[in-house]
Amino acid sequence: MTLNREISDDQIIALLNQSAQQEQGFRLLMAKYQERLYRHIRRLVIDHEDANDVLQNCLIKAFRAIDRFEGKSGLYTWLYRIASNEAFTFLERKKRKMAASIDGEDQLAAANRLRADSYFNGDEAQALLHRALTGLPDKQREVFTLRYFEDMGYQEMSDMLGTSVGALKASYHHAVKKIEQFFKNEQIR
Amino acid sequence: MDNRKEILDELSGLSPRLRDLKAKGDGLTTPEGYFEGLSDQVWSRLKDSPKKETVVRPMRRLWRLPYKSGIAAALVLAAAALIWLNRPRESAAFDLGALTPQEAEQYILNNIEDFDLSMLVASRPEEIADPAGAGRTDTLDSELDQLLDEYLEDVDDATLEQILF
Repeated sequence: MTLNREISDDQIIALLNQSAQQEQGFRLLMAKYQERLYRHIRRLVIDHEDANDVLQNCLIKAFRAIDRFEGKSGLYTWLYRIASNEAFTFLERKKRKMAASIDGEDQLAAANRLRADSYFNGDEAQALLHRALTGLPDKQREVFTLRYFEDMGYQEMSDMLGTSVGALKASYHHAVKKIEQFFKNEQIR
Repeated sequence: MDNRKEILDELSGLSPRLRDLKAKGDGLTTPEGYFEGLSDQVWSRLKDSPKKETVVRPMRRLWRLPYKSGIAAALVLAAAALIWLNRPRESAAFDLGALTPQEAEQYILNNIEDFDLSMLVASRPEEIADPAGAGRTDTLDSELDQLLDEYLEDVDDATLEQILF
């Protein structure tokens, strides 16, 4: 497994582009990135089953589009964008299904999902944080998640998202303030 | 690691609560052995569902034969409309200067729907620009007002309604 993770992106892409070795390339790609992608998706959709569906769809899309990967960005950046798109599309579809366009309802639904999810072992404060996150706009939520949970620097984030460092800082600060306010409101209740 | 320290320092100023909570992580766990079997699952899904045909990009699709004639027709119509809109017309500024009072009255009566008073005044910019000629502008205004009054007195209700609406 360790060997798989040390294989370079170029080697993986080369294997994926040879039809006889596609399966090997794909399995190496998954071994290298599946956990990181899963964690990113899971923080956005919260529920494990949902994250599993989104991750599988993301990997299938990536495999089918690998011939369009131009190498302008890193392989993980490319996969990350596919994963984010899939996750936000999934959430949008789910929101429409539930007809819960009001933030409060979203947060309530998220809280219920979290309680029902047996793969959550956090405390009340952590659950509250996830509820607060579901009320944020997509961009702020993504930026907050990358910085807060994945310890990502602004420059790296900028390269990954194609957004200026200044805009990212503003998004993150805004998100933190909103979450802080959410905590205060919940304490008052 | 440097990022982590920087993020914690940043949070100290923004939200000490979130700084303290950060150490706990996200609380999200995965089923045991989840990742071990995942690649088999995804690979079998890939084998079972054949790759879809490449989608033709919308702009390319537009250039397919059935659409070409439509686009060409639209372009011809747009060009014709531009030519029609930019066709040479009588210049109000030029014609008014050369008209006799009778001709001017007739002109106004014929074109009352197309021009309002401010446009007619603006058609004599030399008088507006020259303060010494301000009286002439007033004269023109009063003449026009008089002409309009006369016209309004003579015109029947049906015609007036037609002009106004």
